[in-house]
Amino acid sequence: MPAARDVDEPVLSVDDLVVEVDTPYGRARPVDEVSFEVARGETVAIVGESGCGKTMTALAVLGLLPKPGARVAGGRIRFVGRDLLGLSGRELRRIRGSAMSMIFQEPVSALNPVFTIGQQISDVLRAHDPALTRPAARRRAVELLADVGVPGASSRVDEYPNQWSGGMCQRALIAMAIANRPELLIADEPTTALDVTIQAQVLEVLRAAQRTAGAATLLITHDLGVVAEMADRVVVMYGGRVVETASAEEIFSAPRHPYTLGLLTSLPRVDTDLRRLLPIPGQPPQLGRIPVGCSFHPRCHLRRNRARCVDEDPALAAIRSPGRRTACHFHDEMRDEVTNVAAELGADVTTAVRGG
Amino acid sequence: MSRRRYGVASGSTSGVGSPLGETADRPAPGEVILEVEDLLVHFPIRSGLLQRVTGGLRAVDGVSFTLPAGETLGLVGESGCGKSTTALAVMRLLDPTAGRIRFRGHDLSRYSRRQLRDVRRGIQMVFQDPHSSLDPRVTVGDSIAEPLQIHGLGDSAEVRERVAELLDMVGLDRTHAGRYPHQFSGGQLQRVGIARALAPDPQVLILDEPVSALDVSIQAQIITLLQDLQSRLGLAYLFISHDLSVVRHICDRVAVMYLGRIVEAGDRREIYRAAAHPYTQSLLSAVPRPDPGRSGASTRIVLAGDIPSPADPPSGCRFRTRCWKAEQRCAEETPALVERAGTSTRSACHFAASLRS
Repeated sequence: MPAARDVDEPVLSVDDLVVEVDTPYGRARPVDEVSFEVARGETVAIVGESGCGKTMTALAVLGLLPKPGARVAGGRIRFVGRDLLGLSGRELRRIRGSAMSMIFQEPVSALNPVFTIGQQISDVLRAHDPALTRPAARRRAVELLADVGVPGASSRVDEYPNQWSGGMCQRALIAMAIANRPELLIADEPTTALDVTIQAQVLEVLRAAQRTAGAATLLITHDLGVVAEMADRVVVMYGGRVVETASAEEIFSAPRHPYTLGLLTSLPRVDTDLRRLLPIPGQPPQLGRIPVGCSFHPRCHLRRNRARCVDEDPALAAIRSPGRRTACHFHDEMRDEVTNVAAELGADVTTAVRGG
Repeated sequence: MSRRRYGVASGSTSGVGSPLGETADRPAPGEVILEVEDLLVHFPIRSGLLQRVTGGLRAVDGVSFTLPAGETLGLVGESGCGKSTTALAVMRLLDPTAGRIRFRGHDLSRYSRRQLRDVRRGIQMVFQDPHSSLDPRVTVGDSIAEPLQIHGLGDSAEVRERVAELLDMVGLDRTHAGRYPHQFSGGQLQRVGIARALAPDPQVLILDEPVSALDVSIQAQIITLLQDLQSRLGLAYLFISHDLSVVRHICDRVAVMYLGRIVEAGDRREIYRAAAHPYTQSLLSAVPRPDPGRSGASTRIVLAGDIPSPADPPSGCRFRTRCWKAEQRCAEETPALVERAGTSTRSACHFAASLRS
């Protein structure tokens, strides 16, 4: 545990992170100069589609990049004042599961089928507190399970994962993740594998767990509904890069990157009738075949054949609104773009994209 | 068997043959084309050394609905509710335990395999995962041609031309017919799956979670394609999905399933505006809204507990174990799916009438 606790210092800061992998086409960068911060108690969501680099970013922070194959090739990751990239495997293991913990997408495969739920939670507790006796760890496991809303926790603690439903397993994983009062919780698609009524339960549990643990959260998801509900700030990734960061409110009401807007106009809504969807044409880029210039230019509606988008790679730069960054040469045209697109979506556009 | 010709995509219906005869033409819009009545699909549960049947899993337990030509009916529900089993039974890819499936007046539930082959030309299916529904060793052109060959539609030159036309229709390059599935992305493969389903010129498409495996931007492309194809070809869709946002966008009518039964069915607008069944209400409220200012979290109905096992469903109303309105009556008496006064929505809840907001 670091001694110095500067209140203003972010829990996590990632600067110009580069992850490289070897592909049949040569060396590629699934994560390319990614920077973001997570402040104390804050929930930051990284959103993007498959292959955008969001999960690789999370794995790099956790020091769990697949080996061999993927490696950090540049940048810095600082976690409560320590440089994570300089740590040994042993030091990293002491941080993971205590100060920094994670929740994965597939709750059933994240649990070990041959140990009881209670044993697995006890293991997490005892790994970071060797003084804790087995009976005490078991009692704490029951408390944690009760905290995450597992009914009859004291009897169910001795059951095996196959006796539990997916939603219940995800609660057990959340219990494990908060067991050692982490400073940072990394949740990778925590509800994607769950049915919608179960998702609602688990999101509620996750919110409560964040509050009790006082943990900052890095949420990796493709679900913009979950983002709107959970996140304070949003990092949008495309082709291994960050293309926009802003508060959750601003991302949805006044996007300043054409890709962000495209995601919003692709989204059918449960709460309103849209005249039509406006999909983004084409396909997301494949690893190792990222287009030159702005990587979004082949699919971009705002480009209008301008050469600059092909010639020059836009930097992620601050725009007027504080804390906002976007990587688009023509971001000052986005206000009009949002208004035009809203008109096309249908009458009830104010809820779809509340004009810029 | 004589060779039949398929209709052309441009909307000329002169050459279109019905699946069962050459004289019948396209169904009129609004005419009921598919009708399912009291469908039951029960699976035996075997256990012990001798694998004796010791119980039954009532996957689909009395499902009825109608699908008019040119319309989309959404069948929604969570895992295990029986929506996909219903789809497979309608296609007779699974034999129903009881019930009737009528397609343009023909009772498919009694048809032999041979009779079914002809009828299936009119009902085609698109699956969730195109990676596993297409043969990786067969070119996409040959995959699309296969249903044409099975139904004896055209000589090889005609089949080639039709495959090219189908690729055009779904927005793929017609020169890509010789490529293999691994050369396409997920979204492109789903277009191939749709082209293959459209090949024999069906009147009904059964779409089982057709966009669930796709990223948001690609999902929107496929939804838009399905809507375009429907208006161009007058297709009827049975749209199976767990995604209530997609269903709202694409369906005319919606049927909500829970543990093998339809609990509420009706016009899309009525269901989304004022659902009367507590399960539908909780399902709709559970969907996270992509709108931070107005997230549904504050008004959300969070259900207690998990979905019970369909091998051992609760007595009476199957939703009662998770329902905040449940009373003694709900355990004793199975609520019928009845129309509520002043609406076209049918709800299976003893207290549905008192729920309108």
